[in-house]
Amino acid sequence: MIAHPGVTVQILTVNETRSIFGMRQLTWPGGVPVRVFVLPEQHSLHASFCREMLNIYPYQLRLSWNRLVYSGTGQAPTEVATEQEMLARVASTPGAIGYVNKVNSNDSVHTVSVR
Amino acid sequence: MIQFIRFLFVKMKLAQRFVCPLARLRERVGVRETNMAGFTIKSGIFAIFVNIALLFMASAGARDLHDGVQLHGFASQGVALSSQNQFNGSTQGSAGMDMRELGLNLSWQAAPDWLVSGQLVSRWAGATDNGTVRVDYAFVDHSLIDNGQRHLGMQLGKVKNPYGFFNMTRDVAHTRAGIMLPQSIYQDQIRDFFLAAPGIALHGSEERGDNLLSWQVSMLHPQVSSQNLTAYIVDRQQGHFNARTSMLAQTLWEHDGGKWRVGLSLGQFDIHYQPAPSDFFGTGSFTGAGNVTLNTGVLSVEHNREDWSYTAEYASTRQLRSGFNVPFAPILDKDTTIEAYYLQTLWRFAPRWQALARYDAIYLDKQDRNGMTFAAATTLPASQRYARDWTMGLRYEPSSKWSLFAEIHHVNGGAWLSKLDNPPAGLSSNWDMLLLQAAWHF
Repeated sequence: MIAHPGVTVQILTVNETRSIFGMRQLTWPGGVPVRVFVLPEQHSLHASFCREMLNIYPYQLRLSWNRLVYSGTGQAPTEVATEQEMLARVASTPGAIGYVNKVNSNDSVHTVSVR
Repeated sequence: MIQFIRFLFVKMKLAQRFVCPLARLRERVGVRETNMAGFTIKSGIFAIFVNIALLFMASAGARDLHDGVQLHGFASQGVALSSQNQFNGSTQGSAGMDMRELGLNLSWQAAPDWLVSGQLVSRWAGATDNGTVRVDYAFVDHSLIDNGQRHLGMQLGKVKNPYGFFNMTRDVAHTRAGIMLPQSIYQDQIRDFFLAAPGIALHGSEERGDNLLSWQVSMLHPQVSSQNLTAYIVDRQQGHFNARTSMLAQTLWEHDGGKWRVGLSLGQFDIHYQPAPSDFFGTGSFTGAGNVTLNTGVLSVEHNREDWSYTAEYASTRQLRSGFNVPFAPILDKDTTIEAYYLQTLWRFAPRWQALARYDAIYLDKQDRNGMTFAAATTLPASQRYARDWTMGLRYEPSSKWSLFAEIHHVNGGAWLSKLDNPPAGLSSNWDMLLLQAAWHF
């Protein structure tokens, strides 16, 4: 996972990660709003991220976002089309979190691991 | 997509003017001018509604309008073919197209602890819904506690009613397993009453390890103006209901990211019937104003696997009635327990494809499941007191925004059919139905 350089968190548990990507945890410790970025559901990296990092199926995540969005009780994450766009948006958005396959040393994001 | 929405808009106008039997009836009885004026205002609202949707849909990814502001919407069009009985405009031997849903919502996360959201919905469904644009919900949500593991918040405004797994988002095709929700528990004829209501809600959640426990308690003023509710409770009469403050609560436990979900919803709704002089064959026959209390509960269980999902819900609703005092219809003051349940399985058998199988049953009086006692007391058909529905369906998703559905129903009984579409005397007890639907959301 990658986050905006201003996000101080280095490690998250599976449950915390689920809570963030399930749009239930809206702030980082310290109060900065969380901004979640995801790839399209058809993207192979999204499917493997759901399975390996969150241990849930992509359809469950989509249903939980739909339940929030169409009942007015929450908002959906921001969808980006490619990993390049993911890197650019996470690097430039305070409080942002997302995921890519590989981070280069010149990318201005920091990595967050799941324990 | 834009052509699709324009097509729906044209259909809406046609539906308003030519299809809606109530509009036709009003014209026949001489209120054409009023009706037309109402129609013009409604058309204006539709035009604004559709144009806003088109404006935002024109640019891809426009749903994040501004920092913290999101716009989402949905549209669907269905076709119904039924062997007997009417459903969403279908008649014997001809298809019904009177089956359409449009919605648009806006939410503003003003701060992490303040959310403002609202949704407009317009829906067509045979004689039970005529496309009037309604505020589906509009509320302010404030978080009182939010520390990652524990959440406590409150909502004020017109809030959605949590009832079973699907009530909160029942009009959004993408959130449903098939075209129709199981009608035993999610009866469309009383949807307005159950859907949302002005009130206040407290909600919270607690996350411990793999377990998430969430709950909501609402104090609300039920929406009772729908003629569908009147038809459901006292048949087709001219009087109206008044609502009293009612309560609804739900608790939901999710294990391992939703692999298991178990919910319990409990509600108490108090409504009061004010008869009109013309009710029940004229003045004097209806001597009292009736009170109805609905004590209802739903137990919901779901198990999700990679390729399969299994869902079951069981609802019991105790209907306490008093004060109607109609000498020839003592049944109006009879307390009954409505029993409803369904079992459903979904199979994601290939990427983008999903199959559905469901058995759904409702008995309006669990002491009289076959309706024979009711039929003997009223001379009305026994089949209006129960319904058993076998459903098989298919869903294909050409993209994440589109879904195409097809499903067949084999039904015994007509308990969930609207009396406005199907006067009880003409009800057929065994009937089949084919439904097709295209749905889009963003």
